[in-house]
Amino acid sequence: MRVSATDVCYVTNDVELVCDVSLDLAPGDRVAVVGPNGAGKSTLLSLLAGDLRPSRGSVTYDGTDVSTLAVRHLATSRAFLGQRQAEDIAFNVRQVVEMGRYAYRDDASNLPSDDRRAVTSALEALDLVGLEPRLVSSLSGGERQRTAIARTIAQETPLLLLDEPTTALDIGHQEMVLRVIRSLGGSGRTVVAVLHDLNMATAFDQVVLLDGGGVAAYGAPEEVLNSRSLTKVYEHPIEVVKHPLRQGLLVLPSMEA
Amino acid sequence: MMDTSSPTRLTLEFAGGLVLLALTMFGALMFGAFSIGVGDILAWMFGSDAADPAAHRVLASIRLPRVLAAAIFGAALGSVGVVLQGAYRSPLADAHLLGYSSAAGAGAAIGFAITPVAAYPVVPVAFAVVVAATFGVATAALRARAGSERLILAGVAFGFAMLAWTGLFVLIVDSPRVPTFMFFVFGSLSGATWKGLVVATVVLVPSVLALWRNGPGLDLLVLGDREARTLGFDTRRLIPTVVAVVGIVVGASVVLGGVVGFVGLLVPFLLRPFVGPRHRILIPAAAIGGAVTVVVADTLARTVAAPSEIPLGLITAAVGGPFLGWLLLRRTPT
Repeated sequence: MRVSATDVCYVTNDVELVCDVSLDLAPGDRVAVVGPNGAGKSTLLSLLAGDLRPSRGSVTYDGTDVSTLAVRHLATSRAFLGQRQAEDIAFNVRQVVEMGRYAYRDDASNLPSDDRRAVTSALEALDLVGLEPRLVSSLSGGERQRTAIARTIAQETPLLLLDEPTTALDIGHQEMVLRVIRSLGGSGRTVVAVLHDLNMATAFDQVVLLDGGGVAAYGAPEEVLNSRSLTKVYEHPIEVVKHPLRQGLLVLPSMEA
Repeated sequence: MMDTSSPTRLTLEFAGGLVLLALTMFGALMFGAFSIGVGDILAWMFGSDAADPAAHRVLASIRLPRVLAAAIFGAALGSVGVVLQGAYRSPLADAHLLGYSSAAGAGAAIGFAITPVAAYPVVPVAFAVVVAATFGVATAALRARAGSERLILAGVAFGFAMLAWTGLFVLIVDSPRVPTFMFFVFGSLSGATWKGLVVATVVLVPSVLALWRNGPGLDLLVLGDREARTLGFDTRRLIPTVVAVVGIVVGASVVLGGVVGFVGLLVPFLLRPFVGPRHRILIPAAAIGGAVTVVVADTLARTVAAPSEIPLGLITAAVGGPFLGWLLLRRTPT
């Protein structure tokens, strides 16, 4: 599925949260959205999800304006991971992941075995197999976050929009989520993730650096993640060096501040 | 916590619930202003002429319709409680606490006040008022879905207002009709007839089935409105629809048995630990639990002060009130 945003703006209470953002994403693209607090990252994600309607401009999936798509149809086109996960839930982990299959209900071409396979593979991908019967209310923050990610994976949509997917995860599970995102891209699905950790953004194909609702830079990680533009956007001296142990970059806040 | 999703376990629980309901209903047929023995009921059920003809008349024209009305009334209250708690994401959402039932009571009061003698116009007036009230409160509540505490408080305030209006209309109603009316406001199934039972069933059964159909969507709401929507449950369209159907169920049940609180709150709360949170399971479970509760409460209403009757709503409130207090002091996940 081709995802396009054309000159998208979102204005609320006379404040432009997102302005003139244009993106064009092909199947398999993995895009990191970064920027300081209040740069419009989450708003942009909601606009791409069709959850917010742009004040100007448009978002299209394969040329169709998302605001014309039914809620049910949208749910089979894109999955969305919000920033916060509900805690006080008496459903168990498997039941919550099964909720990702809701949009396929009453769809004749979807079989119960499809649902089972999707749910099981999502649980396996997020290392949740042993936790299946546990109530979500009894999980730790990181386990709850993995359950929510598994739910979006079980949705099996061509587009995944993830707002801070690695929040609350330990370092091992952060890497696991990055691996899952990589394999989703490999199977032709588009992933857009809002990230706070700039070092994680180096693992993506493209990086969108937002500042004050607009795009400050957009391109490959090596082009966008440079000391000069990061220092300017984050208003804090930031250094970018070659990673000493592996390929890629290492982003560090400068000690001089 | 134990796994509440095992099919074997659920089958056993439902079978147990249905057996309990059957036993309760059988017991309810025995007790009343006039006791009927097990043998007489069995003889009547299997069409034998051996037994007492007076007992047959009481069973066929009074007691059976009343027990069936109690069962269907309780089933409606229990299932509607579950649905409201799901739609508003609060274990305290209930037709009575949100003021819907009191609105129906006020509607009935208006009906009594404006009609000269016959009680018939009371029914459509009460029904129209409760559907309108449910819709009004629901729309306002949906707009401010931020916190369930605020919703409950608003509902309680609305309920008090409706109670006050009821009082005002009671003062207008001429005195000989006040007792009948009081039974309506405090709930009673003493007016149950075969005809009323058939009408109520025709309205209630399809409505509750429609709510049951939306069960998986209501499940998603525990994740939050926005999550439910991104998963494909059209909250903006379906929640108002669900609440409108709830209005119809509350309206029809108030017409059948008057204003009876706490069943919709107590029954789902007690059953959740046994059957789990899924609405497809919880709705029928609460229907059975509600039926058992009301059949028992109505039998008490008929027998405790026999030959006179105690309003059903007083019995459920006497037990449900303290229970609500306890519930408020002890939070559990929805």
